[in-house]
Amino acid sequence: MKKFIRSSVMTGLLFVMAVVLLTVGTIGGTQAALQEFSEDWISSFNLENIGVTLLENETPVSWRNYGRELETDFKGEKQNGDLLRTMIATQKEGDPAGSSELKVGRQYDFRLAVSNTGDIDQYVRVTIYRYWVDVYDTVEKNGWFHGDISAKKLDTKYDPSLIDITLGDTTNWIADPGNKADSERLVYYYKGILPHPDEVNKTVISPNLTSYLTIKPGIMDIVEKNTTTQADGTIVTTYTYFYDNIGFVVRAEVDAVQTHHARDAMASTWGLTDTTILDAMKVPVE
Amino acid sequence: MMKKKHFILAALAVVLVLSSSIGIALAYFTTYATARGGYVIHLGNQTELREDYENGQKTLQIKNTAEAGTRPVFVRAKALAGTDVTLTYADENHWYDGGDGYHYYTEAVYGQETTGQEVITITFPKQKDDTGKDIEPKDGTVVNVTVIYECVPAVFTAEGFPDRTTAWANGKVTVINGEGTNG
Repeated sequence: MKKFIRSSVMTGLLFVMAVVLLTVGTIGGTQAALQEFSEDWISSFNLENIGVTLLENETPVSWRNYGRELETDFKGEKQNGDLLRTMIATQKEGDPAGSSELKVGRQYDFRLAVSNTGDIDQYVRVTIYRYWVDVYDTVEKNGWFHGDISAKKLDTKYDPSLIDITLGDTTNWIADPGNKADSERLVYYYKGILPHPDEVNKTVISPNLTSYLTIKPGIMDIVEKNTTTQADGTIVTTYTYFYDNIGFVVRAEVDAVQTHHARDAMASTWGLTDTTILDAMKVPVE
Repeated sequence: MMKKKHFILAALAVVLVLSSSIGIALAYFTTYATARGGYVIHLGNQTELREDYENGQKTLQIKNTAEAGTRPVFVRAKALAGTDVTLTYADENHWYDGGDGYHYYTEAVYGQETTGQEVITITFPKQKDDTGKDIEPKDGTVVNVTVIYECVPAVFTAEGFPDRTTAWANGKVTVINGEGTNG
């Protein structure tokens, strides 16, 4: 008997039994669900899906709505879209006519907001990245570019704070303490629950996190001047700027998380444990 | 050999037990969406100064040689001469005296555009005759008048209009190589 217990056959048997027990334990739960599903009343069974949409100037630009692959209202399950696409081309009433180039110093409309496009309430945060890139593709030099193809991120000589983002409704959003004036990455949390849409409120959109984007005139501070005199006496002066032919990119990411056990969920998925922020977001301690 | 086998099986059992709890850790509902985009900055500019002199008057015009309709600039100029020479600026055609020695052109000059004319009248110093009396300068008298001009890329107001009031007041200038200034 002792020999049998110590034998590899016995060890193998015990291992197989352990596997069977674990498997049966899992199947049990599945079976229970299947049995309920087979009942008539199960027609009211409601699958919960989370979904979030990022809006720029009231237009959805990017979304991920689980379980909505086939619903045309939501244009499919996900899209990682374009930002600032119409920033320069958009003309407002009273705008001066003329150049289609970017105007340094001008405040361009840049209203970022978040919409809950899922079936459950959620907490949300928005992370904005702003940085300078060297753009090699000559086609891209003529206008908007997505920033992921042939764009090389530049080093810290190029100042992210010159890509100035004016905040919108600051009473409903709280900035991460890590945000600095010259931060490349800016994080903002929405104070409170963003409820899911229902029959009464068919669309739920947060107050605007941002309002304007401005390229600050500081990009002209570093300049090289060269002057030559031509044979006919005409003086030709050429100014070459440090930021000439450099591209700026803004990336916005919205993250959403469930409201149940939200502190655990945010700690697990966002790494957020700052109680000042969690309290400002009115996340209950469970 | 047997011990090794036991160890492997025990490790597998531990992994199985632990893996049963993975489901809980991943059970949070989360989602995200991202969007991105940008533009290229065009700042470099090239301008030409044309000077003409006739009958004691110097006429300045500055042309932006960039592609038509692009890279607007603001320009300013001043003329320098000896202390006994008087220079009088017409300050017409959108030129005005900035009060700092420079005369500014009020409008942004886009590519292939040329400023209006700034006319500078040069008053030659009186000369003295043998008795020490002031007389008009003789023909052929030469004075040197040097024109300095500068330009900066146009800065715009929040509403999108060229803003000459801030164009020249844009903080410090760091010169990489050579001579540079913007205000």
